Amino acid sequence: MAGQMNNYIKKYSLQLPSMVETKKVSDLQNTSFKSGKLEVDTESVFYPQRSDLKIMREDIAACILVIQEMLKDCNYSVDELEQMPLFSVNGSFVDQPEKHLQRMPMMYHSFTPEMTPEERQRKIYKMSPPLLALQTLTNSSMSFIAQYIGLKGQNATFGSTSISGLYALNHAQIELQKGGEKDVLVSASNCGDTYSFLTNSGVLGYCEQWFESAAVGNIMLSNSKQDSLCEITVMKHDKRIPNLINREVNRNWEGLLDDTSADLVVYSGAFSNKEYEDDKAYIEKLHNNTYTPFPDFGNLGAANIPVGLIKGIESFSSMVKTVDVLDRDVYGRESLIRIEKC
Amino acid sequence: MLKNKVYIVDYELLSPISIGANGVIDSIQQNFQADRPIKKFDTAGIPFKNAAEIHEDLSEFYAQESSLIKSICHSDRMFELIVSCFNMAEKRLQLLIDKLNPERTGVIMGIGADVTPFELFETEIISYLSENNNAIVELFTEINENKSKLNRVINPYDVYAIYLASKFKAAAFQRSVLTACVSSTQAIALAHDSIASGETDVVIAGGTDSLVCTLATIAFGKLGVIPESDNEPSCMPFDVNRRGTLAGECAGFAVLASEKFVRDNQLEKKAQFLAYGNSMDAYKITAPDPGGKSMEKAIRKAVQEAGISANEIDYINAHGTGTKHNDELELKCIQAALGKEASTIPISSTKSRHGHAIAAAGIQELIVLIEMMKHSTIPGNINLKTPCLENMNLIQKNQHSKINFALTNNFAFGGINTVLALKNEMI
Repeated sequence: MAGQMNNYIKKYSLQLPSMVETKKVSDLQNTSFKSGKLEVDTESVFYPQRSDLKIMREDIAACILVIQEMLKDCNYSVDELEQMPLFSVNGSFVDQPEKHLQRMPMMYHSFTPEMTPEERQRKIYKMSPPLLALQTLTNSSMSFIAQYIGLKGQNATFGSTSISGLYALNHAQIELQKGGEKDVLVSASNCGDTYSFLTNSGVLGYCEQWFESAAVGNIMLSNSKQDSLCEITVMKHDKRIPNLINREVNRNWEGLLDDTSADLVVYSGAFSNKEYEDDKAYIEKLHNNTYTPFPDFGNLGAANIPVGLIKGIESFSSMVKTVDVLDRDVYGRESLIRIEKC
Repeated sequence: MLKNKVYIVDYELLSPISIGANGVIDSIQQNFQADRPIKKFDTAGIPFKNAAEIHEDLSEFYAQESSLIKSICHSDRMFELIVSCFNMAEKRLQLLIDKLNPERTGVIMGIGADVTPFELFETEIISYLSENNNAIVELFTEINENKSKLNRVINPYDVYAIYLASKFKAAAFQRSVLTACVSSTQAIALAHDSIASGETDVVIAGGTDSLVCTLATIAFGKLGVIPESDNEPSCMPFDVNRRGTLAGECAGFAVLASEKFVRDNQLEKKAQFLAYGNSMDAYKITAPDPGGKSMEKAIRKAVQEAGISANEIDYINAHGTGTKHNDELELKCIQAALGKEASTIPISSTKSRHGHAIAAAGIQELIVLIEMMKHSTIPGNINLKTPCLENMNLIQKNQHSKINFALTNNFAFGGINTVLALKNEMI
């Protein structure tokens, strides 16, 4: 963990899918996957402006809403918000993929044999969506959050696999190490859907019952214990360099868990039922109280780690005071974060 | 406070103005501009004809890589660029790589949005087209049946950092920063933080990106960022008649190391990374805040945290895209941040020479800056005839001049501002 300062989670907000559907993506190859969509409250006073919605992914709209809900009862001054660092974590940057991914083929479909190359190119130019560069802007989540909340400080957008959540927390810790009493916002959103499926299934290999959902998880990290929900006492990951040539899933969560004294283990990483069953069998040999969002929501991509932390916090009780959050990203990089109730 | 000093000890660059960092100085001195007709795709019928494109065949650089790596290079230009860039420097870097402790070495890459190379797959896409088929999905589903972790099309963004990590044996982390035009600038800044905090001893920081494909060129052209081609230069930074930027491509990386690592391994310091300023406009995604307060704050913070005064700055490598929105605002923010000294500091943008490499702009301009420090040369603003703001030292011709302290600015869509401050260690 960077530095030895204590870090605390002060606040959080979360949105998980309200419905899960099976989506057919390929007619010819009979490919489908399960996916959960976020339901965004369009009546909320925090719902984004229409002009922004044209270039805003749905997971970003959800993220902005829940962050504003989270902050509405905090008494941050304008100055404090302007100074507040923001680290954003995102998965795929293309949602509504059928709309984007079908436009180019439809252009080709409209070509006639008599057309010259110049005429074809002119058609491509005319039919190309004018806002595409903005709709797929990789830092759009961070920039919109900044715009709606008034954040003007230190920032970065990380992507795109689930370990990015850990990397964002590492840099949030480094920010806190720089000194001064402050809070740092780490915001994760995953849009899932077809483009993410194509990206990740290519790495792991297509498997039946692929399951990935959209999700949002935001965490306010602080170096002050006052009013905090929990302390982060351990943050580490296996220092392995993924092998790009050989596809394999090597579980080594055992190597990360120095001890099994946590009251609860929250784990994530599986993209399919088979992986989930294997993970479950593996982790239940190590620990007898475990939870994973997979059966309800599948893999939450870039939001895995923040959501895992939030689920851990929500599990705090007289019996659960320490939670280990384990994750494995699509390249097999594993991480562990331990939180202890304040 | 973060304690450790951070130095840049090596770097490599694959740029439209030079294949290799050591060719940059000749290119600058000859005032070479990579603003030339696009070769990669047919531009007949679209109004954007020029780009700063790397025309050289790069396949010789990765000839010894596996057939899988070569096939990815064929369809993923960003991957081809970074693979080639590393391989150009591999022999020279081997001594350094042998000294690295894998668990204390990380990689942070600034990456641009992936752009599906539709033109490459046109025949296959058309063959899948029918009323009921989702052609792209059908195609990608079939293609991505590889038995490896590398897809022929659309990989998770981490693949570039993981590739470099496999070469440098950098096991501490493989991070990807995706903040558009400041991606690699932020990668370098965050690399500094990682080392300064004690998290690592060495971080390889860099970026790769390319705007030179049909869809990206059209998308940025329709936004008004790239001008329609005519007889005028594409990119005229700081000129009253500027119309846009020059689309570009690039890959590069720098090796940042702690003072202790440099000393223990007797490495040559090229530059010291002093500090950076990083801020957000919180304005609108489509344009920078016209008030420029956050841009000014990033510049001021870089200088203050570097512990230097404005009159010590010998050169500013500006973002200077040549767009209506950026250039005058950037100069006003430099004035506001640095006060009366601002009018004496030589300022230039090198984008008219090598183009705007978007996510890789930061690493390209950092390496150009270090090369200028090495050769005591300040590059002039090519194509500048009538400055958009008076009383600023917008040099038009190259100058022979020592550069001890310098800033490099980058600003991104969505209002993100990142400024780096460096000190020359080669004097």
